[in-house]
Amino acid sequence: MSAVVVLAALPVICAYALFQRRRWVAVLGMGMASFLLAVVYVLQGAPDVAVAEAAIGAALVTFIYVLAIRRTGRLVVIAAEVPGLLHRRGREVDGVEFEILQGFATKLGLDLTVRFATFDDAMEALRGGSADILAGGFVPQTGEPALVTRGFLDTRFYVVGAGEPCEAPRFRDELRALLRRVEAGDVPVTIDLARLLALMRRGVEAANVAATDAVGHYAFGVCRRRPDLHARLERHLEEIEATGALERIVERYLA
Amino acid sequence: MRRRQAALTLAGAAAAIGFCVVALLTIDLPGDAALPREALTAVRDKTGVSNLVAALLLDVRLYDTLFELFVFSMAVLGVRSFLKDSAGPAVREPLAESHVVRHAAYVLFPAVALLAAYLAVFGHVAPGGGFGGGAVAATGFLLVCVALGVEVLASRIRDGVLEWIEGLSMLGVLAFAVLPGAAWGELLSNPLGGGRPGGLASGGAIPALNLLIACKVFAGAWAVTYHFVRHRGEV
Amino acid sequence: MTTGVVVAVVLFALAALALVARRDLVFKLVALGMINGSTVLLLVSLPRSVGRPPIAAGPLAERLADPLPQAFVLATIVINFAVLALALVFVMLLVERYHTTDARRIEQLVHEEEESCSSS
Repeated sequence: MSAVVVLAALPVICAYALFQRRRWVAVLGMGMASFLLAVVYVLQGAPDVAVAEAAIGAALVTFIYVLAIRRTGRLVVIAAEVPGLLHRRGREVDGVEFEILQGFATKLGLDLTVRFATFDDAMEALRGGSADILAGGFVPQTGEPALVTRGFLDTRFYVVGAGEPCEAPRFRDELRALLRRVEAGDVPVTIDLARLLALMRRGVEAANVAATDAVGHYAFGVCRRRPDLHARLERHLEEIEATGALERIVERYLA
Repeated sequence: MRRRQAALTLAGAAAAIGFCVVALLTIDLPGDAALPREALTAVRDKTGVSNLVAALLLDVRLYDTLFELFVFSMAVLGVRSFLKDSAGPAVREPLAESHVVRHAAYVLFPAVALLAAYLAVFGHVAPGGGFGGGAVAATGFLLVCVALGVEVLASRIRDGVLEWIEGLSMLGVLAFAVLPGAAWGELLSNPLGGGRPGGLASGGAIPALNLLIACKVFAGAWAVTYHFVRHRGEV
Repeated sequence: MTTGVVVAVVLFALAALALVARRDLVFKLVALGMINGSTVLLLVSLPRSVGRPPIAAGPLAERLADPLPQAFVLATIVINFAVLALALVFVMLLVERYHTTDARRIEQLVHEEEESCSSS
């Protein structure tokens, strides 16, 4: 009698597992179905078959699937922390770039993982392939060893501190190092908007800041091995720009 | 687009339901008469084992079992040959290691190994058999692999040893299947069969075949999982 | 006709539908595994193979389960696992090459590769 109950549950579980969106749920559902099948075999008088089905279907098959789909749909973003664009807030991450990338990841059906690192480490990771997207106030220059998307936010460069602006824009420096240099009255630094706002929030006076005529734009870097991801991210940026969602996001953080 | 999707979904569901209805109406199940009890009793007395499934697999239909083992070997060979050279992704995160899992594995692994040995050795007397025993043994190794990490396990058991075990057990199966028959009767018969059904020493070559098949299935399944763990795909 | 037979047919239909309808390769493989499982269920749920376990030292029981389908199916389960593992290897290699699990997209990419190969 109880075999009927277990058997009745099987099509429901299978239908749920097979017509799912998430892959690991499908694999777990199949493992559970195998286990229930083993129970049914015992109840119907086939114990040898039940042992084999339980050991293989429920354990081994599930395990090799879990191994194979290990990086189960993750989008790995490696970034330098820039307040306003991509910053930590308690245990969460927030910012313009985070919202853009989160929308992108949701659209692709992936989970977003953000890791923070210095810019050089981040570029290394991107080149090595252990991260998919580079973010964090990334103002691309020519000859970057990564695929670069279109700009989503324009910025002007500002010079903090008196004196001649130095040759190479210093906007790749880490924020704390930047702050220390400015406080120490070091060589004038050329930085972009987001870092400027961050510095001003930490007490750099507006009097020391002069706007230059140089402009650039923030963009994302994509691992060279993922041209498909690059194309889709470009399309996503076009879309959010067209619908005006990008403006709203920028206003919320960089008003 | 939405309409097309809805229409396709409907067509798919209708096809599935139609298939079920047609299949269930036209299926012609063989009636109640299984192998008659006299035949089963005769099989049991001739082979001398009390597990009729094992008797059928390893004596009456031994020829089919040999080919099944052959197919299994081919599939494992395929997995090994495709995954042997790949080093896996550059950044490999270790399998989750936690103290609970490790200590639980220390406690559980002997029990699992014992269960696998029991299934293989007593496969002709009680439910079990070589296939189930080998699968359970592979699951036990998998538990150890999850607990200790595959590198530890791989350093203790060289991969060549497993290939030897696999090959030798296949040869052993063939030997035990063919040689007694070649010596004393027809090929693939079980001339040493007989003995008290329900006793451990019964069935001639059947217990030995069970053990060897368990070794073979264990080596094959472990080879598959080992290569998967080493490769650690990116799907 | 036992419940098991009905459920086996239903599972087969569901899994076959999923095999065709889902575009993700992993789901296709899971559906294939489900087809295997439903076939095994069918064979073990035939009216003649349902009953007391066919293990008896003394006189055989009245409604003994038929050991023949069980013997067929026992090795089949193990072989299904091995073949599924091989198929999963192929899927893994494909996905590593084309970075997508969408079957149609992979076909497209392969087609483009072939075209660029034949033109260059």
